Amino acid sequence: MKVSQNIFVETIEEDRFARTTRMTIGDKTIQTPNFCTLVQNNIELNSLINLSFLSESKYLGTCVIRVYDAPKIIIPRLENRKQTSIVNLKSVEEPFLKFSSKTLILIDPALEYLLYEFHAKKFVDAIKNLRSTKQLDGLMQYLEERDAQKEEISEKEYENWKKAFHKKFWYGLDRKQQDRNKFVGDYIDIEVLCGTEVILPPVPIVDSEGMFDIARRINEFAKTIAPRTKPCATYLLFQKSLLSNDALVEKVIAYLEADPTQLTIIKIKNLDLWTSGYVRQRENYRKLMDTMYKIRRHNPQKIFMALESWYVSYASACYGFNIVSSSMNGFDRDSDYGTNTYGSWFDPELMYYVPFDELKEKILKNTRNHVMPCYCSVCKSIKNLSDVSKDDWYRLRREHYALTMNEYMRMISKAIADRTIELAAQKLANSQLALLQTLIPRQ
Amino acid sequence: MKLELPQNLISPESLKSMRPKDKDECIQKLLLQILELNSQGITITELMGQTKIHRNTLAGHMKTIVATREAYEVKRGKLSVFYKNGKVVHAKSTECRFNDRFYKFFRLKNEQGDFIYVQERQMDEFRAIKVNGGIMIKDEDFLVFLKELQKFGLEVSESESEHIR
Repeated sequence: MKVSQNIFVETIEEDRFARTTRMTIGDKTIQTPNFCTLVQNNIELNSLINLSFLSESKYLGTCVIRVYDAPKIIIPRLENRKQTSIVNLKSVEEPFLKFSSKTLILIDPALEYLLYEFHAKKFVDAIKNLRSTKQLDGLMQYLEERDAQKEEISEKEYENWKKAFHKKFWYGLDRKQQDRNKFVGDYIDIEVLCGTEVILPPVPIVDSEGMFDIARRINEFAKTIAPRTKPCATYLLFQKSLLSNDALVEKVIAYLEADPTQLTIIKIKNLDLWTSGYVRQRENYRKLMDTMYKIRRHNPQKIFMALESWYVSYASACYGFNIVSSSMNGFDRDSDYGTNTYGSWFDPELMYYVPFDELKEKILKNTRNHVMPCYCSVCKSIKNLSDVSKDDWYRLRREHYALTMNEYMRMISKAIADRTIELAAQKLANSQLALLQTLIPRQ
Repeated sequence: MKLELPQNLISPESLKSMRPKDKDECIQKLLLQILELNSQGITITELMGQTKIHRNTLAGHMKTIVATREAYEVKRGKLSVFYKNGKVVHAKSTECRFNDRFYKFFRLKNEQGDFIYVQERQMDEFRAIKVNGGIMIKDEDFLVFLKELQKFGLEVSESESEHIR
């Protein structure tokens, strides 16, 4: 039977400003606070699939894949799921099928990459690959024109031109209702093709009130046309400058208060609240979380999710947000990373990164039997850090990070159940992220 | 009768600017919202008057919604009244088949209570299944209903056999 899929939220425990809930979408139930892993390649997805079979990974119930990564990560798996292995007569994608039967998979429209160019090539290739004839013509034209212009003018001139061209694209789209409707419909089709379980409206990255109005209209329109077999979230994508724009923050707050949608997803690109001078930004982020708390008190069916919340994930999960997300390596900033170096390791106590060489030195100096200073099953499996190859380290540090975030979510849940949520907040005070403790109320 | 309409009622002009596929989804969603708000039932004429959407479009989409069992249709003479169906709480439904006609049983839950829902379906010449109608019996009334139905069935068969003799 075709049934409209609503989100059902049941509050399990509550302690002052924090709560644990059971959220059901279709046949999947996840417990919040929950960590949503941003998966960027097949190694990360395989690692996450392996982690999902561990009994300890109860709080890793969601994963998000950007639309431009989907053709390489998820589409081949969806296509192969009906292929049977001749060895065991099971689907060749059996582990993925098991994983996807209990994990909520979201496809992020990632339209910030119409402005940012870090993943420009991947983005263009993916859209070309995913769209069918006449779909997203306007978008393709925009991308082609942008690429052509890049080669013609100087770098400085190009930066200014790009910003103006990006604005022109969105304002132009917003002015022509038919074009905007087609764009939103086409983009939702692509998200559905990539296997998303929740529709995220294709909104622009917001840096001004005008762009916010466009994002609002796209959100509203997407809800009217999204397939009713999948829930459609309210999706807001901001530049980090949002947090230094008080008027825009007030406008966002008013919108959140009036929006009846059950699931609200917020992404603040390149979020940075842990730098000491960012007092105003922290205050505004706190204001946003205060609003979420008030909305939840009034309507317990509401769920808030933060994408790319980086170091702020823990503080966000303690207070305003039910689901937090960051990439599997923990860094939510576009940067070149690869397998040719030993990347940093996330220290669960410091809540910060420790460079590989420092970690090695720390282990040799301070621990008996040279064991890793972490109790997660991935770190326990490392017997001698010197023997770990770069490729293995690439995978292990990611698995460790996901399990650490899982452990943080478990700690918050336990603190709520024990009515000691202030202890969860205390953890921040003892870490390198002590400045973030102001994001959480004291009482 | 004036229907209660959703606040963000889409205008016919906005509908025109949508892709055909989106237009279908949008109208069906709108109809479901209106059905939800008007539990007393709605007719196509009432809908047409207030949404300004063409009768044939509304009737076509209503048929789809009824076929997917998100709404059901009750015929009163020439008039069809549409109601929003409740939530199916018993996912594994069973059915009773008699050639091309069959009856499917569901357990439904809505604001009026828990029901046993019997839906009459028919397979047409193109092997497409259409929903002809259905009845909803409250859980607490079901056994009494079944007894009465059995009694009526026996009476009918007895009178038929007497008639033959």
